[in-house]
Amino acid sequence: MDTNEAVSQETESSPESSVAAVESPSSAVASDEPVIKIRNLSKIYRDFWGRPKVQALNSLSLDINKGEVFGLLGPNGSGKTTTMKLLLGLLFPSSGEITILGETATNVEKNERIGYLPEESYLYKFLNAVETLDFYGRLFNMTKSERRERVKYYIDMVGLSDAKHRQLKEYSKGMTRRIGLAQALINDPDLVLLDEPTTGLDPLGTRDMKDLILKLKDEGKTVVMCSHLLADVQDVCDRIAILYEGELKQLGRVEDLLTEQNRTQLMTSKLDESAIAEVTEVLGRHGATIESVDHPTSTLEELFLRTVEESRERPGRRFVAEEPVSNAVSNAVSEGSE
Amino acid sequence: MSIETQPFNFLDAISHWGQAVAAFLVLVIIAACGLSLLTHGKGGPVLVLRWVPRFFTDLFQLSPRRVFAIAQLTFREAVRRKALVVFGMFALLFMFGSWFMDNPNERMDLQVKNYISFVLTAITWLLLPVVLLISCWGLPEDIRNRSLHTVVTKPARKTEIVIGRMLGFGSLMTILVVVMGVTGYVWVDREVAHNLTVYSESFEVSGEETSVEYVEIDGGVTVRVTSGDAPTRVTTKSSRASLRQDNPELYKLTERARLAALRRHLIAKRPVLGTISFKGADGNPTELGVNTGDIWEYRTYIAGGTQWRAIWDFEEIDEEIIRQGSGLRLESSFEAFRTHKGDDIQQSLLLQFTLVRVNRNVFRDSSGSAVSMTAVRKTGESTYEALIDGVAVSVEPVSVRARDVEVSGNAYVLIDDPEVAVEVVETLEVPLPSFNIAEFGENITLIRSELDHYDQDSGERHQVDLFKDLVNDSGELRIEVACLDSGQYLGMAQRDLFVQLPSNSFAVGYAKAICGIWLMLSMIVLLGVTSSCFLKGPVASLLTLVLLLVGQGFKSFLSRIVTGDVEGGGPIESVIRIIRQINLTDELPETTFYAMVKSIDSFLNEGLFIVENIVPDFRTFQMDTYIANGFDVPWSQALAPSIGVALAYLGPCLVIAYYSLSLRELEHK
Repeated sequence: MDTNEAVSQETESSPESSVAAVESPSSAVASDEPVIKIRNLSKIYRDFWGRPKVQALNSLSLDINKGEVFGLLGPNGSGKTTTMKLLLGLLFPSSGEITILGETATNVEKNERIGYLPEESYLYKFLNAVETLDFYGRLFNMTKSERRERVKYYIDMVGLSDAKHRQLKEYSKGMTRRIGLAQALINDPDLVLLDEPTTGLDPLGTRDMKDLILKLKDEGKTVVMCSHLLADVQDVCDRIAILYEGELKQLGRVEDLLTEQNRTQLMTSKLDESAIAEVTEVLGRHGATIESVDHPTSTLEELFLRTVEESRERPGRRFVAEEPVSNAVSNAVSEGSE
Repeated sequence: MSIETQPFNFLDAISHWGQAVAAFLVLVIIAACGLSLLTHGKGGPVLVLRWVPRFFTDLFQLSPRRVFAIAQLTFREAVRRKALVVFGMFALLFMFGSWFMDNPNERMDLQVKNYISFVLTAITWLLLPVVLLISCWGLPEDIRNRSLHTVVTKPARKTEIVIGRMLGFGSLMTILVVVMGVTGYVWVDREVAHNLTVYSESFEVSGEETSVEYVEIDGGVTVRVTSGDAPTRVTTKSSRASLRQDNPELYKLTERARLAALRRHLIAKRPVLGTISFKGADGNPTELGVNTGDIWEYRTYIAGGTQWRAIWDFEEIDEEIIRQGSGLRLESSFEAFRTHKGDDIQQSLLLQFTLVRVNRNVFRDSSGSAVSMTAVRKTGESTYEALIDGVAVSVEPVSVRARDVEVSGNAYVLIDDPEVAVEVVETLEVPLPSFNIAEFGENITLIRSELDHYDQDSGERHQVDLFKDLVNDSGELRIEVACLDSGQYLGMAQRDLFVQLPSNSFAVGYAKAICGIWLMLSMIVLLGVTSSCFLKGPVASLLTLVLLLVGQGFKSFLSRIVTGDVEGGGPIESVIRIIRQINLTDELPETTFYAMVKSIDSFLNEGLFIVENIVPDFRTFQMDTYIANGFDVPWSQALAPSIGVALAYLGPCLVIAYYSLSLRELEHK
């Protein structure tokens, strides 16, 4: 929004609970205890002969604290996924150090407390949802009863109860992301690494995913996500790092990075022309310049969610701002015939 | 392939394994340190050495639940990849296989052999490619699909992944082998009986010893029945069906003979093998018999009507063996080389066995050192002395075992110390009645435990107890074989004469042969999974296949290169010979240059020792020849070495697989 002054006030038409859950800040507070420490981390991809091919990361240093939602941002090829894979030990650093949950990245014991959702679904497609979660549960040495309980809980949580006995190869992309998320959480991890968590999800799925991330934060877990869907990151992240060509360009709290301290935004209920003129005059006396006066717009996501929610509550009702072409034509025909 | 047994010594095997593994590990660690020095500078070798103990940490923290989870996943994956389609191919082969196997001209034992060989070969060659491909492609596919990423980012250890994979493929392979093995057994049992075209059997019919001979060829069926002293009845029919229709009684008799003959042939004979040596025309011991010019050196010959003897020394002959068989059952099968024709060309040769009690001694002085026999002289009833460096020293005869003695030149010597001659004293000789042998057929000779013996010295006839009088204190018995037909030669090999223990059932021997196939496929799984940890699917398959082919077909050649037994020298010498066109058998000039070449070659041959031991000896797993030839698969000479080989590769394969997975970047671009 580009208005100058700030009077924040909820509009009457603001979406209900689910949307509010995203907009309202989470109550849990991140501590200063770093869960991940990265120091001078560099990664150079080499060719068969050992000659440098690509410098994917260049001297990256940052800490990620316990209980925060941290976003890794950047355009394609900026080093987000490389950083994630270095954290998981899937790649080895060319130089620098990584400490994750107090262990080195290659130490397998750290994985007891980590959940990882890969960018795409790399799960075993010949298994069904129950077999998949049971398999990963066994990798965490869970007992049979524990596995049965958790498998049911997470399948319900990600909304796959009706499809739990279908092989994953029959799943849609959204369903695959959901089961991927369930496997990442099966061990109730302290640290969750999400690679492009909302990719492939519909707006409802995206909403659920963001709710879940905030819920994890409320439970005191640390979430690291990388994404190039900036709106999603902005909605859930406490802190972000922006990478470009393997280098750290921005690092800090989202609010701090986005707030423009030398400008003020003011939002009111609807004013008529005269009231606007008066406010302009008052503001002018205080030396402020009005850059624009406009009606605020909601986001498309908010509109979509509101529409779906209202449709659920009142089936059959239509919210049409513009008359559909087919109706307009039939109306014209009927008017002509009269 | 011959069915010669290889001596297997567990301690020697462990020691050899230790040397090979140690040499390999040292080589790998040195190479890794050198490489890391180049890539990581001075800290590189430290990094490498820090990685060394990690395998053991990983191994000791194995979780059976995780291993089983990965094994189960692997099993499911292989099943979903349609590995079980092989059952269909197997069924097809067995449905139509017998169409192509009837050979009416062959002897019965060869027909049975054909069926057994067919089953075991079909199981091996159907399963081999399936097991090789699934075990070589599993992990690389997982890495390519990135499914493995979701496993390694869980607390699954690398050793758990590797062991789980091996177990998963192994259990699938086990199911395949068991199902095919059982099907094959039932098939052999039913199909052979149905399709036998040539057989003969004797049994009692109405109190008369009756012999039935059945021959079915393209022209029809011929049955010869000899009952008691009555003349042989010959019946000829156009087919088996017409025999059944026209002469049902005779048909029933042939069916009874068929089943009886089959039961006699479908067995697993348990031989006690002896060592073979010869006595020449002069009566002195010699390593080999007469060479009749046959290029296949499996058998050497003794000349008939001369002093030539083939000698078998049997060990571990105890009273139990004699009691079980109501005497000693000898089975022999010899090959004749005839130097003249005559009216008796169709007749068999005349043969005689002589049982000999022998004692083997070496003379040792008070310090226990062996003394040359030529220096020993008898000084009293049982006292001896030897002249050593001009000084007479008292020596004692010490008994040695037959297994420690061999023939060298014209004398018996100790295997461990060929300089020491062994005194072999024949204390009692009991010749058995001569008999005619059937060439290539089975000759069963039962030596009763009580024997009549005519003592030529005293001119008296008396009873000799086989065990007490002829088997020496070490449980050894010598049997000498003489050919009595002058001018003819009789070929002998180690397996041509053996003591027959009560046979095992065919099912037991067959199960052991199937076990051999299972062990071989287990090796393929081990090698396949290991190579797939550092290679992509196609290359891993190729590597495993090469190891299989070299281990099966070129292992002995490789061993001869390492031991320097191959003519033409080492790698550099052979290149020089090729370039300079020097014949393999020509001596190289004695110059400094060639001396250097030979030194380098001998060093390279040491390196080849590691290569030779990296390649598994797949010949060890071949047990089908035993059972196909009617023998049981011996535990100590066949099964134990095979299990030993498979276990010997398990540890090193795990180490290689662990480091390959741990040190590679799964996400490397």
